[in-house]
Amino acid sequence: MADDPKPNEATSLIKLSDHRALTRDSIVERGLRDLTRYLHVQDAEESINKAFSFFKQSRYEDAIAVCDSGLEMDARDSLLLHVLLQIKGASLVKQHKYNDGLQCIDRALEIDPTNPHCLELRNQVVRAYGPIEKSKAQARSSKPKVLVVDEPAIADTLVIILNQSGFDAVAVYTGTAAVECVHKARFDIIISEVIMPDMNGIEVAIRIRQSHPESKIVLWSGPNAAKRARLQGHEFEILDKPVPPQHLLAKLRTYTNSLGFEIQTQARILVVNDEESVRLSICQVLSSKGYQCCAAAGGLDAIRLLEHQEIDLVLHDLLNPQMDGISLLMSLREKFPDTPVVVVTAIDDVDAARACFQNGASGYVRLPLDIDQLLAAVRRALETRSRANS
Amino acid sequence: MHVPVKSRRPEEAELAKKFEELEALQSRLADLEFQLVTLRLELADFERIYCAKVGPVYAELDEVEALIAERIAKSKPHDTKAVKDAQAARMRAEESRQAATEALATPAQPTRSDSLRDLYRVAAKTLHPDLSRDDADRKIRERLMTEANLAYEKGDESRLRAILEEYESSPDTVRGDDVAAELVRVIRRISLAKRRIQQVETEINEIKGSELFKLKTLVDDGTRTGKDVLGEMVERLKQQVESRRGYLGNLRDE
Repeated sequence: MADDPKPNEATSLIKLSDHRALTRDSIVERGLRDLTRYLHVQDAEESINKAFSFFKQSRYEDAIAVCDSGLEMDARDSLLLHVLLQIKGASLVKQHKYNDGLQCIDRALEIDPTNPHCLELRNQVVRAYGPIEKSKAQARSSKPKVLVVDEPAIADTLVIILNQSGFDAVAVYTGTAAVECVHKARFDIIISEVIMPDMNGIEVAIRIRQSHPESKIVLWSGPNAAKRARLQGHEFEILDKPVPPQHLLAKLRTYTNSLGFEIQTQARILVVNDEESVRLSICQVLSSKGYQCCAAAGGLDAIRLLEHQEIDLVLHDLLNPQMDGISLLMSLREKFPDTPVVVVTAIDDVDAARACFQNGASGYVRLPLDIDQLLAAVRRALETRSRANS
Repeated sequence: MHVPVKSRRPEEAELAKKFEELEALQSRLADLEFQLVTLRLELADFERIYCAKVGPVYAELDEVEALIAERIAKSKPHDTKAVKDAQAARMRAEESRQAATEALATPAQPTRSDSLRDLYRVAAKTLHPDLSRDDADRKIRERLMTEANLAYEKGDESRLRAILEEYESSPDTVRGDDVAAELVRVIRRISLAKRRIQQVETEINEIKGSELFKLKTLVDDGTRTGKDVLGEMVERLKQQVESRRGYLGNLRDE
């Protein structure tokens, strides 16, 4: 009897063998997942090469078809997706389908907002073909986007606080997820724990900085880890946990102000230009950034509007049939000394610019429109006004 | 001189027709059984090769992940989540290590020649238990089919040939004279063959829907275009292991 296997031993042997089968299944499942992902990326790379070759041969229809099939494959690699969208956008523009092309370029820019080729392409299209329908990228949320990378309990709580305070925040719980997330969407601020299971917070910050140099990155951790991280000598700000929410919010607001989130202030801007297309395109750019816009065709109309409405900033041109730019500028300085004025003109002349500044202009932006230059001038003028008022 | 012509009775004609039908079903069933066994053996072989090649690298990766999780848990002793994560990572590393060890210990399958495959196909057709005439025949077939499967699995061609000879020389294989009884038996065998064909087709479809089969298909596709897919997978995983080792080193330095 002693040599007979006991029933419970037999059962445990069965369980062990089932368990082994399960672990093998798990390795097979992981292998299939990894390999499928890798092959998708390879397919997408192949599509890019093919599409680019068609584009170079001016076979735009073929290039678009290849891009479409590549985009359908769900490459799961946002950078490859970005390139496919860029080639498709450029092909559509070559076929004179400007709005569709611009939509593709804007989708590509959502993935990589600082890509110089894409930005250049977009500017070229806008400059060459004038005002264009409001595209998806322009219509995106103007709340500051925040990515919180921390363990679930902390990240989820912080996201609730931030969303209640006028931010558009999302949480992820690992470094890898954070890096994937910033490849898919643009974030203005990233708050990350230093110690994480898969990746050091500093490594996450460095990777994000490489692809999104404009994003503000704040690291935080317990006092010891924060101290050690500070000793590593890098540029990132590191906060000691626990950070009271009001302190964190105050800090984030200083960032959003420096990032130029005009939606917070909702400044009202008057655009004065006798050319309707220029007026409209300037208004579109400013509206997409959260400013409230109104427009006037000339100096006299502008003054009437200013007398009845609260305006934070005036953008006007120099060559206006109703009133010349310098006269309007002088008149505005006299009647509305607190309202800054930025001159937007096609005149590329140092003397004209000097005359404008001497008569109180806060900025001078040349046409054709450079969106970044315009926005920078608007921000500067509003900041100066806000400082003067406070 | 008038030579009398022996005409077939209707039941004999029906029996001949049913035998033809049974013959066709036997061939189809034998092909399907062969396909099923081949699929199972090929998949078992692929699983062994895959687990032996890729399993140890996954085990290594999981080991490094477990060390990282344990290191983090050590630096945050009051963080219950970090401690739980470390325990889960250690368990997973242990499981992966076991799976890899087991895969390495599994013996390789013998090579199967074309003549062995043909012989097995004949055996499946001749010995299939669902094609038996009666209970006595079924018992013989069941025993011999099990032995034939084993011989095929081991790649033992001479044994498979001997099994077939044994069945064909068996006195039970001789057909009786009673046409009516034979007709009933054939109809039963046809019904059984049809049912088994359905079962085998279902099993084949289930296997083809498995993750292991999908993985094998991807690897085979790569091989056809001259790629060593498993080798490339191992290389990528090794790079991942190296990168994670680097991270572990940084954690230790902190």
